[in-house]
Amino acid sequence: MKEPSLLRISVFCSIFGLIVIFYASLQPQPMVDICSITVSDAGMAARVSGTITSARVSSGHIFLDITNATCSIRYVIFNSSAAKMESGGGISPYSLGVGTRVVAQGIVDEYPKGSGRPEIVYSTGDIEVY
Amino acid sequence: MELLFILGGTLIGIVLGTITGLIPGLHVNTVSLMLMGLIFFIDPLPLAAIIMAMAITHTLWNFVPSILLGAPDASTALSVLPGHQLLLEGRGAEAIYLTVAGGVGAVMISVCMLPLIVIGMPYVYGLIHPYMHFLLFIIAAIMIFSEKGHVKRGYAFTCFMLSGILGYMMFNMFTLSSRPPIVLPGGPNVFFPLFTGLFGLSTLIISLNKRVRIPAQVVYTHGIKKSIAVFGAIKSFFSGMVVGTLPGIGSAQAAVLAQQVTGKKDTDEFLVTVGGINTVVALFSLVSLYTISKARSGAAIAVDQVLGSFGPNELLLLVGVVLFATGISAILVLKSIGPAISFLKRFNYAMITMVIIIALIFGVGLLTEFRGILVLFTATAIGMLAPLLGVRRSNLMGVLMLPLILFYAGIV
Repeated sequence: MKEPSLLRISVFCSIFGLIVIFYASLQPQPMVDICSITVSDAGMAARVSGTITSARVSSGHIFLDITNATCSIRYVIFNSSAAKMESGGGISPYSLGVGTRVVAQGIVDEYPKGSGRPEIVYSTGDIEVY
Repeated sequence: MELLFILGGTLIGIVLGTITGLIPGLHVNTVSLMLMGLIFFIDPLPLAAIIMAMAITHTLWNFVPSILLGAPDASTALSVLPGHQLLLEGRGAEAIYLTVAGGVGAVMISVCMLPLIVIGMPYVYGLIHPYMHFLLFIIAAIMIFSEKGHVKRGYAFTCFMLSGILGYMMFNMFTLSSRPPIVLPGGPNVFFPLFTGLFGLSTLIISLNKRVRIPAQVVYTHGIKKSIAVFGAIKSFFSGMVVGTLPGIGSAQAAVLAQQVTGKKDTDEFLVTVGGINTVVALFSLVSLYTISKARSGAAIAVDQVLGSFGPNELLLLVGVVLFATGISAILVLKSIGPAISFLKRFNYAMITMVIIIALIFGVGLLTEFRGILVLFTATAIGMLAPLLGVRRSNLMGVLMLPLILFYAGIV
């Protein structure tokens, strides 16, 4: 293929790809059952729904326990992300309290390492309250 | 017994590094991240030895296709012109010899200076940390303005911004698949499709399109001046320190900086410097992992995730692996420049390229699923823009630099 044609294709694909990625990043992750999350899922994205059964703030970091009918998982919002959410105009993460029903997404992590306890760390998007 | 496994791992790493080094587009970071999957079969330390030996061996071999085929990756791109200049003078083998001399010399200097670096790096990092965004901005500006002419600078800026926007979305908005077919420790790695596209597939597709043929070669070398080897290696050492300390800076940027600061008056010394930078960067990524807990390369990320914790024992052991692999690989490269040239001539380059392209797409699909393929597609298209527009591939490091500038400036 001649280079000018390859260049035109590359320009088109670059812009098209960026637009599709931008659109895809706005879409919510598929819902995952809290009970199915294990430490082997570490590093993967997860979106869960449940009721907050514990809420604690320490040094600006927010630690929530999200519980469904049978299982519970720790959900962490680090202070930098919390500040970003506050200034973003959405729901204030500091207003989330015990009893609030939420849909939240993030990245599965294991903390402390080797403990076998999975947790979800907030990454992007809004936390939905319903 | 474990020492034997580590030694065995180092030898396997040397073999793998030779393969990745000889095949343009097969980036060592890509293979490092894929090797993490072996954690289910191999103990962490021997696996870390495989990864580091491969990373260091790769840096000594990857100038062979860069100089002989004119098919570089991002880190060897600057060696192409001076390498070809020597090639036309019938000194192609010597060009490779110069890069190897740079690699060995720079590693020796770095290892001698290791105690000082280990003490000094956290201090220097603490000192520059508040001004990181200014430093990165200045380096990005130097990169773009070092292109010749306004048009090229505009193209370089475009490549920097497009890769930067992609990087910003990857690190701040986008998440990869929640359930890929194969799950590596640490989960799907966004760097894999991103860097495979920007620097791997894009290089391969363009090489395939150009129908690269190995030019005729005269295989002979003569000794190099000690002053050239020493000054080149010292320049590499300091450039490697910059890369190890600053995030988002790779060996390509370090080479541009060294070129801008010292001038490219002597082709021989420039090749020694570029060869040294490439190798020192691989070593310094270990040092920065230990001193400031920052993984500055794909291999360091893989080592960090495989080992779980990285202490002084691991550092010393892997520095030993680096020294051993450097020595063995340097001898292998020097002894096989002639046969390597004949060997590459015999291969059907287009066929190898096609196989690698398919393998990379398949690998990305397995590890990151459809969303990873989407990233690969976009990154490849952006990665092809730089060579097609006639600007350096290193401008594509905007993929890390732009998000880091915004992060350190407190904008995101």
